[in-house]
Amino acid sequence: MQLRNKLLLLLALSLLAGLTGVVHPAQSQEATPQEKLVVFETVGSPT
Amino acid sequence: MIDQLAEEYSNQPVVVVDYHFSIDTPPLFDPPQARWNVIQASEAGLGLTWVVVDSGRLHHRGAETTPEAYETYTAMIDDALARPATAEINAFWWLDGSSVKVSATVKNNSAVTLTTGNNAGVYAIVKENGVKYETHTTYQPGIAAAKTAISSLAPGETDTFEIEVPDVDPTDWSKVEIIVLVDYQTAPGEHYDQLQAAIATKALDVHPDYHLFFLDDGVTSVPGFTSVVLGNQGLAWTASSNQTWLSLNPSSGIVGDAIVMTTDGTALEAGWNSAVVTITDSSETYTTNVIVEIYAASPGEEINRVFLPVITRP
Repeated sequence: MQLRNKLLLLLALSLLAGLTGVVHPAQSQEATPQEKLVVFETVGSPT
Repeated sequence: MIDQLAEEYSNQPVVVVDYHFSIDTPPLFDPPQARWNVIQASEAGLGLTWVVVDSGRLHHRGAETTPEAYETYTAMIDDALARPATAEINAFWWLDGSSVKVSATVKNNSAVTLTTGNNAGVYAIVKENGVKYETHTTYQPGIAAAKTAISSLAPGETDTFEIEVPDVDPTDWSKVEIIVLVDYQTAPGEHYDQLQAAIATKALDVHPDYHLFFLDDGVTSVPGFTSVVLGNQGLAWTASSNQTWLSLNPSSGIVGDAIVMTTDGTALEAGWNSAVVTITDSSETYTTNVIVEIYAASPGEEINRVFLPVITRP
């Protein structure tokens, strides 16, 4: 295969890879929000 | 009733803290001042039992009957659980003498700028789980607390704060839990509001921290046993034994590594033999211990072993 054809093939593959990325974007890496912790404070509880 | 609440919510992200208030003169014991200031901001005057969640966003005073208290308190907790956190807290703690020191990294996800102007702060509350003090009526005693003021933390900003709680004297350190929370005062003379709370982890810990063996007369071999070093990710440590009969392998590593301990049984004396393994991080800031106790029978002494059946709940 000639060098020109090789370059064209490489270009085509690059475009395909790019399109695949657009169609299937990487999933969001957003972290899960921290769960809330409730603090129940009592003063002078009888029991 | 408070213990019952703690039990009922034990499978949910809820911690119950009970402070004692003495009406004796002079008072024998007061709530930790840092939290008492926040609780008192929820309503003028004094009326017990005084209960707050979200640092006083919701509060109740003077419940007359147990059913009234139960209904009110569960409604308050459920309301607080349904409200999302507006900060992220990652905290760890260590001991420095009798002081509990806490490092807390806080990300402000709220729309409020936390400043000294609105009395914003990061608190560490020392609770001793499952211990009933003479001064308390529940098994949820909050025994000390301290605040570090937040000078400025705008929405979206993250900062790290150190809190020191001095003179902590629990009956059993293994039952101590450190609660870290962030709150601010909603307006001068008004109640506080809490963004988030978290349980601090120990900077350096080890599990198990106690090994016990009984050796029959003439037996010198003790099986190798291990403890795993826990704590802050990536923390490097070294370990040393205060007895020559106890060898450690490895004697250094990072958090997550296990220490295999082997014993030279021939070097043990009849009766009790005790060793302390001290594990220290590379900065020599954090320390934790493993206790090893071996009872070696004297010549002719017989050790009686009793095996009890154990019934476990599914």
